[in-house]
Amino acid sequence: MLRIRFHGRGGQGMKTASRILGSAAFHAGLVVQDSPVYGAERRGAPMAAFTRIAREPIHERGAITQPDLVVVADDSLLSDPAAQPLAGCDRASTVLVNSTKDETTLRSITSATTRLLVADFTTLVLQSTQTLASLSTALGVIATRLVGLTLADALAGLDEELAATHLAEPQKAVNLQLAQAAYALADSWTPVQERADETFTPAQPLAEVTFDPPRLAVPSIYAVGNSPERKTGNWRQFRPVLHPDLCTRCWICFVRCPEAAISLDANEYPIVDYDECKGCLLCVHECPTHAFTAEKEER
Amino acid sequence: MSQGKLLTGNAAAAWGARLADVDYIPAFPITPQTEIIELLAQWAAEGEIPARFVTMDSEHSMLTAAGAAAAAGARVFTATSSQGLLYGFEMLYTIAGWRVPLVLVNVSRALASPITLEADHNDILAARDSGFVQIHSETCQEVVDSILMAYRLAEDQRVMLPVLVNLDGFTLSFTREPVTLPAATEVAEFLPPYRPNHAFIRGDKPMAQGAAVLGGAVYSYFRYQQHLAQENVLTVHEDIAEEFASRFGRRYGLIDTFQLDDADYVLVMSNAFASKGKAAVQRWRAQGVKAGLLRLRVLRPFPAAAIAAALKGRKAVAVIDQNLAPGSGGITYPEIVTALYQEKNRPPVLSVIGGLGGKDISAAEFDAVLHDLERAAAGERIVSPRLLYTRSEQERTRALLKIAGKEVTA
Repeated sequence: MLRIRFHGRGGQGMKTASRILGSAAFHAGLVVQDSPVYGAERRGAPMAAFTRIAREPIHERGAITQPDLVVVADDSLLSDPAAQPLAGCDRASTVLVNSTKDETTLRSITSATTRLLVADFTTLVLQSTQTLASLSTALGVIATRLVGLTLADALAGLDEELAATHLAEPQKAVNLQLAQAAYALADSWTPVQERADETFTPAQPLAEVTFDPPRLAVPSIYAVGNSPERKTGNWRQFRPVLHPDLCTRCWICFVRCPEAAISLDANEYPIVDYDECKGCLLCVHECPTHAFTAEKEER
Repeated sequence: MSQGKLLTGNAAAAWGARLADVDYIPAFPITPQTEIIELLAQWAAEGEIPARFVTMDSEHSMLTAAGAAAAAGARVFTATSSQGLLYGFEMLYTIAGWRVPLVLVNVSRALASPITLEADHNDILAARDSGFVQIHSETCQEVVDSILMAYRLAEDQRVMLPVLVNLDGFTLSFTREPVTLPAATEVAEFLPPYRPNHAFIRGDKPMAQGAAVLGGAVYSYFRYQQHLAQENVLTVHEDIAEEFASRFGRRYGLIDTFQLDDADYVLVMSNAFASKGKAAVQRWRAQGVKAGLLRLRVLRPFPAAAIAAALKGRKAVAVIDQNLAPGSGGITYPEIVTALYQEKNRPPVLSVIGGLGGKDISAAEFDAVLHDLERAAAGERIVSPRLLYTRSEQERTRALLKIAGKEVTA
């Protein structure tokens, strides 16, 4: 059995990527199981999706704790304690990261001892489709390549997922082209192998849960007001940037920002708190004078 | 080897309703059930299914509408989960008392508080005394098949009771796996249109339903009739399962057994996590341990005789309840012990609580259960219930308590 885990943020398409891989493997005549977990169920929040591929009926369920292949949609997830994309990886695991950084830099961030593959899929996707919505296509297809399936299988899997969308034919065609480019990108990478033996990480000792006083055991939070400590700025793929010369100070952005991440300066111009702004770009869409533009985040 | 198509448990449930050619679907959304009614709503809007789809203002209204429509002779499908099931709870007992043959899918999700989204079975098991028949499914295939069988069961004159079909949130509801959908024409032969000969709400033939019966004797009669109808399910289900198997090639028992024939050590589990138990059994078998698994499938009526026959004479049995009755322990454990009580050759039976709130049960935790089984077989007394919980999970919980402002010592 091969166990593949995708890590992304809500909206990056990693559930779809996991399904593209699942459908491709199913098309190849293999037994497949795929499932997502959404965590905070919010756009931008870390999520994961799992695909299992086998020749026999699969008796495993839920989260993959010891993956053979991990696909990470952006490198900000590597240091996110809510995501922990490298959890459970061992020397037999391969980790593929979508990043503009090089392998050495990523190794120093993660202290990863696994096989590490890095490529800038974001640029590839933006070049061919002008929207990041197709990151799912690129990463789903590359995963299909990495588990040793053919381009025909990858395209069949993608086709099935595209059929479930409301994309127009030209957009579908662009995705199919992107898929071929993504598949070719991995030509120099050897496919992930099934584990020779299924021995898993050493046994975890069990804990004994004993009575705790109500101050601990009642599910209340005493440290109130600590939400701002969780910086959500790293959820952003694109940042809203204000061009003050176009701003009429109508405050629509200030009122509409769902995260209250926009405040007003002394002259009543909007200021974005980039520590908290999740990059939903509602301000960009709402601004009647187009004073906000969306700029790709470079980290 | 693979065939059919990849479907989530939720899509499988919607397909079950579609293939059963239901007439009426009252609906109210709740995570993780929503995808079921989204699909049915889409099919109804696009004219793919002839059913009348109506969104209601709550699960209480939804179940009332479902029961009333079934009482008028419609074939009714609806679905809920967790807090939604509890919000409609009063009507579960009421419509079971009406003896209406609808099918209600529950997508298991642990109950608040604290609030969560993932599966355990305190929701569905809270409804165990409502009078609904209960079928619990392990796979997406079984979801479709159980819904089709459920209508046959519900509409059988020997039963005439509503049926709850359970599937786990996330681990089944959002999980795609290969499903073979039977052809609609073949389903129509297995499940002909519902032609009730006792339907009571008709414009041209008024009658009273759910009248007050004071004094106890009349109430006792009707309530006990529900029990007798439930008991009939034990035999009627086997007839239906046989016919289903001959038509579609898949045989479902009241209980499901895995590698049980020569097993010394037996796990008793239910729903999707039973798959994980089967993986543990396979692993142990490869190590030379004679292990097996019994999966609880039809939970109401409780198939005590089948369970006792399957468990007697084993070296030791562990019941892994994915639920917790505070102050008692695992909910199915006492029922299984009761089923075994009359057997001379009864094994020690351990109570284990695992997978609460969808918590994973790791290979190591299964190994701990096996270790307990071996100790119990050697005559040791094992503390029950045992909560499956790892040290690292405990550490993570403590770290979160600290963030929440709680002073955690050691």
